[in-house]
Amino acid sequence: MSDPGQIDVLATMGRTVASNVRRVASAVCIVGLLAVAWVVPLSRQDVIDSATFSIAFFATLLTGEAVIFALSFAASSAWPSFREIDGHIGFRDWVVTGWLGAMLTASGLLAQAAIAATYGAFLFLLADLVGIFSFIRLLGLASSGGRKRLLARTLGRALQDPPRGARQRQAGEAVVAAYLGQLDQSASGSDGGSVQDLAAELAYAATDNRGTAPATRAALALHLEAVHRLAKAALVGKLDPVVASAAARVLVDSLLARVRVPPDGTTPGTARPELAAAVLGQASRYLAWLGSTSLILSARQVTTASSAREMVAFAVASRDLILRLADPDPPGAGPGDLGTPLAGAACAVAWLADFTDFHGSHQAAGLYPVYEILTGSKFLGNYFDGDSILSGLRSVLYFGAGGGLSPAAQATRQAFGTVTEFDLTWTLVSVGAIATLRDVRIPHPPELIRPEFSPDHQLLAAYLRTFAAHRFFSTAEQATTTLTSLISSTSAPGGMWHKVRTIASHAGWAAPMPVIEPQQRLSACVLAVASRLAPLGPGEPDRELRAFLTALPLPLLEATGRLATRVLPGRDTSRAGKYGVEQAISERLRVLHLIGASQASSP
Amino acid sequence: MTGIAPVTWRESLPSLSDYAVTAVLSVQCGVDWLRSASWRIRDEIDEAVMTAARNRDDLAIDRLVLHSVPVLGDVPVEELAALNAAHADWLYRLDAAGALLSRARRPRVHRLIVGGGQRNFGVLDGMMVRRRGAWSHPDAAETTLKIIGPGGATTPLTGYDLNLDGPFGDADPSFYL
Repeated sequence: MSDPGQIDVLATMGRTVASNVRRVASAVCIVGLLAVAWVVPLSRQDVIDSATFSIAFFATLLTGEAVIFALSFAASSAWPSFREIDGHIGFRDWVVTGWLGAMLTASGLLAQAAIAATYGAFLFLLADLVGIFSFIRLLGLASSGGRKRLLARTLGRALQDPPRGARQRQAGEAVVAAYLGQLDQSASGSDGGSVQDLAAELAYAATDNRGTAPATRAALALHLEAVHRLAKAALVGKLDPVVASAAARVLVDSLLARVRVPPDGTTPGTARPELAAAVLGQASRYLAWLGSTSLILSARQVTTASSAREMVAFAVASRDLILRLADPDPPGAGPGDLGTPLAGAACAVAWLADFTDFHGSHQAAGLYPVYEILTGSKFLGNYFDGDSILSGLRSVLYFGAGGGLSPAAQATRQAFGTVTEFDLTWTLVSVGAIATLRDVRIPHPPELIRPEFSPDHQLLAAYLRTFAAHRFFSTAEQATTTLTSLISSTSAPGGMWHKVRTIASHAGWAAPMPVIEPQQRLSACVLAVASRLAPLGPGEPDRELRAFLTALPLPLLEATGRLATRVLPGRDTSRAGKYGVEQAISERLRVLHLIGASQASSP
Repeated sequence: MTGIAPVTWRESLPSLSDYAVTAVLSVQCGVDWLRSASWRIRDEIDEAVMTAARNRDDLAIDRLVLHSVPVLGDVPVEELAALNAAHADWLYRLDAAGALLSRARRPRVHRLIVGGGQRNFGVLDGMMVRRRGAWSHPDAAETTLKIIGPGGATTPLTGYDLNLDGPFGDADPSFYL
């Protein structure tokens, strides 16, 4: 019995019997009634009398069910579909039993066959029994709560992972399609109540008696897809943004609850670390994109200020929740907050690579939990005061700062490999972060300002400096070599960046923003390297930075200049030519001076 | 396993910094270059070529690679897809790395156009150097020079379609909505 395969088979059999208990009971009754009719056949008059009352009750129930159907369910809605309703109330079982009873009664009376007529009358009685059961179950569905419970159960079954066989997969896909169709319909019709109900149904899908729900890949992906559809409907559709953000918040809470790892780590159905990292990364990246997109749409007056405000507030608050979940020991933690779903260096780096995409809020703070996961201890410094978390990490892992390596640090060092691979990996991460910083030329409306979502140049400098202060070269020649390696080196199978990208592919949800490899962002590669040469404080020489930039071909330098003009604050100048562009980039990188004292480690 | 001999290639790389060498022909048309076992030596060659191109303006570098991966009937579909992906990635990296250098210093990358079912490309993989006017492997060099010459079946990797600014969605995230 200890064989897991046997246990699975028995569990499957148990589930199958439980789900068909109604049909088994009906079959037993049908066979039993046949035996009774065979032994004690009734007279013709008794059969007619019995069938008359049965038919009357059958018709009453049928009328009652029709009325409830008409009042409770929209004919255009596929959610719930008739299939789900029938599965719940046993409508077909009832009608088929009644049909069988009517056929046998009628044919028995015509053929003077007492046993058949008696059996038909008995089946009619059984049909009335099934009918009243069906009617009571249907009454339960007439209420919003009853429908929610049914739909949550239906969704839960459809989101089991992995599906058992092609038929179950198809059925599951049909349920998910119907759910999303209903969500779109409710959102486009601005039906706030329905949208809230749909969000709650997904949140409760497959939730057990203890209130926990399994983190299957399909379930997590559906959460993200539903959030995206709600946000889209609020930004460019007619859905009330307050309703959209409230429903989306329910879904984000549900998503995080499914990914959360309890301190004892014993809850079954917990997401694998790779899946958790991928889903948290995708959610973080999506929310950052949503904030930036809301800002742009608001500035262009494509969406209303109130819609953009709700979406930005939702995105910032949700990213804050994700950051807390990722942190193994968040500030003000209760017993249930300890622990992180991001087990291992690759998972932590994969999450952070996504967390820093699209200029998301709190992106620099994301390095604190990563430091703790990678080293097993907290980072004792403040990035806003100029401390470099990445340089600290580099020192601990490769240069023995603070004595011997902890087990977590040893595992991290093994996962990264050489210090060169460590440096290249973090430079690759920074390319995505720098390339997707918000356009500083777009005005940031006051109503969209939130903590860590503001046009504050000092905050932008802090974000840039988290990567720029990671210094592992100091000359223009070394910078050029690094840039060449960054672009021309293959993502080695088994290397950290390869692992990061493999983990990201686990999410099972195709975000609207495609994953872009750093090498496809050439100007951002240059700026990521240049920022690591740029002076961190006034008075520091920028000779090497200028030498590095001047050595670049003009088209690439101009593209880097365009990027710097877009993402870094500074005076607009119309200086043309290689030296003009190089000077403009150097000047814009002086935004780094806005943060603390220069405390980056030396290479 | 790969049919590439990394030792031979590694022995050839120092000649790129030999000032007596004025021209280099590198032929890497074997499909084995695209297999995961070859990434390290492939990167070493690319890095050495880029370093030489960056440091020397008196060195002419020509590289010959496949334009596309031929259809390999005996290779499973998944493996063929992986080879095609590795090929596209490598060519992109060669192209992008070239963009870091001025046009005059950029190694010239020629893509050999082959038929879908072609297995013999009429050229052998290897690195040939011209030292003081004489090619290290004259016959192979002559064949290669003919292929990359005006009448040869190659097309240059020019970098004209490289997007130096990155995807449009970086500058305007609402593009993805």
